[in-house]
Amino acid sequence: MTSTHEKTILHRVLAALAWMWKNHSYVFVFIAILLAYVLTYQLIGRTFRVGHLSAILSSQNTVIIGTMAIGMALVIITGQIDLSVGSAMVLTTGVTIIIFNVTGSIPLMILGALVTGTLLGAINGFLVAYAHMPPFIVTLGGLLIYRSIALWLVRAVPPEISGSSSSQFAMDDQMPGYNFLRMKFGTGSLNLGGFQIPYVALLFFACLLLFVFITKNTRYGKAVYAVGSNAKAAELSGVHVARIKASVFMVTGLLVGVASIIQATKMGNVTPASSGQVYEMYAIAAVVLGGIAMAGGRGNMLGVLFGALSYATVSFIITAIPSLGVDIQNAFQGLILILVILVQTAGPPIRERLRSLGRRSSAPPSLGHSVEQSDSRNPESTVG
Amino acid sequence: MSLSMREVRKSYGTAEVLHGVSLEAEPGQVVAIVGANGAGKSTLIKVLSGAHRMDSGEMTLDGQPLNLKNPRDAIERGIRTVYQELSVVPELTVTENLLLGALPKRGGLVSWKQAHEQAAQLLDNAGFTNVDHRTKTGELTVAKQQMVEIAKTLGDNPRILVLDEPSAVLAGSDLDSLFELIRGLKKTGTTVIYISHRLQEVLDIADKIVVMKDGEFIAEMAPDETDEDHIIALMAGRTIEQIYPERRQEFGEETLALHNFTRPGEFEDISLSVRRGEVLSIFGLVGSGRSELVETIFGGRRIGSGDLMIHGLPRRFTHPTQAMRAGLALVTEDRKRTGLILGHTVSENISLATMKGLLLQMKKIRAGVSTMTEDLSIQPHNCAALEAGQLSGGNQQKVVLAKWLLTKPSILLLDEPTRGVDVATRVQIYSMIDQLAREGMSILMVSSDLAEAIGAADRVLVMREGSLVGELEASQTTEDEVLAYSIGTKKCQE
Repeated sequence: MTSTHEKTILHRVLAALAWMWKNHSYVFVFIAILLAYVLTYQLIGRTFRVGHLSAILSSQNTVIIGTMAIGMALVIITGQIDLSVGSAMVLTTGVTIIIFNVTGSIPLMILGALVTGTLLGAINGFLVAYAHMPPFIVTLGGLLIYRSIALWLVRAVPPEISGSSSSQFAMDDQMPGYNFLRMKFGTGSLNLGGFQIPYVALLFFACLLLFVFITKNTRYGKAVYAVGSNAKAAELSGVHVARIKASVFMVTGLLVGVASIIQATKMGNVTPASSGQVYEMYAIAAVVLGGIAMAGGRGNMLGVLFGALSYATVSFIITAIPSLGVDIQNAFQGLILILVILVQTAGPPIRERLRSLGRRSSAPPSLGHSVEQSDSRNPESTVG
Repeated sequence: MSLSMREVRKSYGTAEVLHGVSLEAEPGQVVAIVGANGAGKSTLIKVLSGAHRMDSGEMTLDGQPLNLKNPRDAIERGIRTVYQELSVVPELTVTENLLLGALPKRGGLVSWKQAHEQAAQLLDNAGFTNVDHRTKTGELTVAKQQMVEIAKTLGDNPRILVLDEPSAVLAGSDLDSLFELIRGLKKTGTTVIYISHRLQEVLDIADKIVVMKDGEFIAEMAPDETDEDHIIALMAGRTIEQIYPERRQEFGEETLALHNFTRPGEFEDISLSVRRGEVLSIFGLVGSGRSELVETIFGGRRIGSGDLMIHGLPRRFTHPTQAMRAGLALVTEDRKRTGLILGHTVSENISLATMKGLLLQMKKIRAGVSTMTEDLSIQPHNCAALEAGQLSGGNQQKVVLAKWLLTKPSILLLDEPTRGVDVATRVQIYSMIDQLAREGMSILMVSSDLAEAIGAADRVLVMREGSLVGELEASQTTEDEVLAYSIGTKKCQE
């Protein structure tokens, strides 16, 4: 009695895990990477503390790349790509810092960041959706142009406006809002029973939850998936495909604006020549680790959270190993990315082959009795 | 004995779709396999062509075991398959497609002279003399592309040729050449496995008819032992009294009218009108411009010139949403490409055209979807959460219909509403069309199925190469007359 009861419970747990693996594999990916992180600490003889988790949350890889990855996920779900987000973030942060340094106004600075980001995204979106240019080319152009403008801008404006030298935009620490933005918000954190959650991470979570909600519960969200799966069918069902395609770039731009606010308040500065390099690729990696299909039309926005956390954790593992230099870091990140995707793509066919083999060996032997022989004489007898 | 399949079983996941089927086919025999959607015909073909491996059972060719691991194995053993989905490369010429991978070479370079000769020879052997081997394949009509595909397989003198619904896109003289070809192949000892939903042609061409139902062979007979009604009854599992509903007599006011409607290169100078409660069919072969016509009415393509009148008002839709607001709905020709989002759930597909407001009203959507799945008896039960791609063809078509009926249109445009759909489902769709018309809907139906264009409609227009060439009362015309207009042997007296 008890044993059958236990069996059903075990069965249910296994079924739930199977469902999780099928629909939310990115959770397992994150757990596996987190375990690897803990294990690494054990191996090098140091203790892993809760504080290390806070560090993951406040890492740039989580908050800045994660925020941009939300937009990247939308773009990828519609079957497109945005290579310009890293450069757009640098330019937008530059503009944001200038606005702050000139006006000292927090609302104006936030507005400036969001408007600038959205505008840069709108340029991409317009060229892709209405001029019918390939997103790869348009945003590759953006990648080159936006950073270049930032490099030019930092030299063109006087140091009292850029806030620093001729190579960096920096927040003016004499402004009245500086203390709040940098010390309270940008680098501060909420103490939750001893566990520190950075405010910027909360901002990222809020954006993420908003878009989880939008993709699941709004007409817009459904349209985004429909465009990525079958644009022609969507168009003929009354979805404005061009509008949706353009809009995801604008939304990405808006989120680049949010990421710029995080960059400005968390780091206090941005260096056009070096900041945000390859962030577009990191954002794509976070999206892919989050289980969102590059082919479009499939994936869960919640995956972006775990994708960003997974990606951030990988870089923590690498920096935790003393014998590994920074130079080799990207190689390891790339390797782990490929491994994770290999498991996801090679897994199902292998499973299917194993199952099929099992069926073949357990199938009953053929008796040479063919169905149609008995039926051909009197077909009526077989139909009711 | 040529081909023998014994107790072949195949499962996808946990569902067994072939429950041990056995088939014998002699050289020079034409074996037709008929059955409803989801009966397992496609799976059977895929096993035979090496695309899928059977789980158990035994296949032999001339007594030698057939152990097919992939399509290449099948081709090496002389089994060639022409699928419904075309596999020609549209950017290459017919010659290049025909000789793909085996282009004749001279001194390391392709010898084009020889290649064109060989290609012309292949087409000639197949009897498809009206296909120009120098044109880019993508520029040909779908019917001609299909002929290229068939001709290509003949190059290696197959022992067994499997044709999966070749007549879905072929009609008229093209179909005649196909039948001619099959008769020719019989003489050379090739076994032809022929899958079709069109029973009349099956009775014409086959030596043996095998009826499939729910993954089993339920009957095997010679064409002279049976007739169309008998086969339909076997496939459906019951007797179907009448395929087409009774005709209506009275119609209301004009709801949709076209005056000199034109899109250069696609259709020209089309004038027609549909009345309230009327079913108007446009018969035309594939490539006659019919699909482009309905898509243009619906705002999916821009109008070249001419007028579109909806409920007496001139309209010019630039996007389908405007047409939808005016009460139009379009069930497109190709459900996989333009009708459905296969990876999305049935529920998402059905509700796609009726989503309103900012937030989705889940309760309302669920209610609408469940009403529709019940009204149209979409199988399997409770399929709302299944992916549309997992349903059989007939049920997929019902999902597309459900999506549009939910918009409560006053004018319904149907483009090939029953292509690749089994007889039982067809009957359901015809009676539904009839019911909707009786409730006051105007229906414009495009079809390349002669019997359907006449049987399901009140009035028949014939389209040929982008122009309307005939208008006939459905109750007073015959299949021969309609076909004569469509291939140009009969013309309107003016």
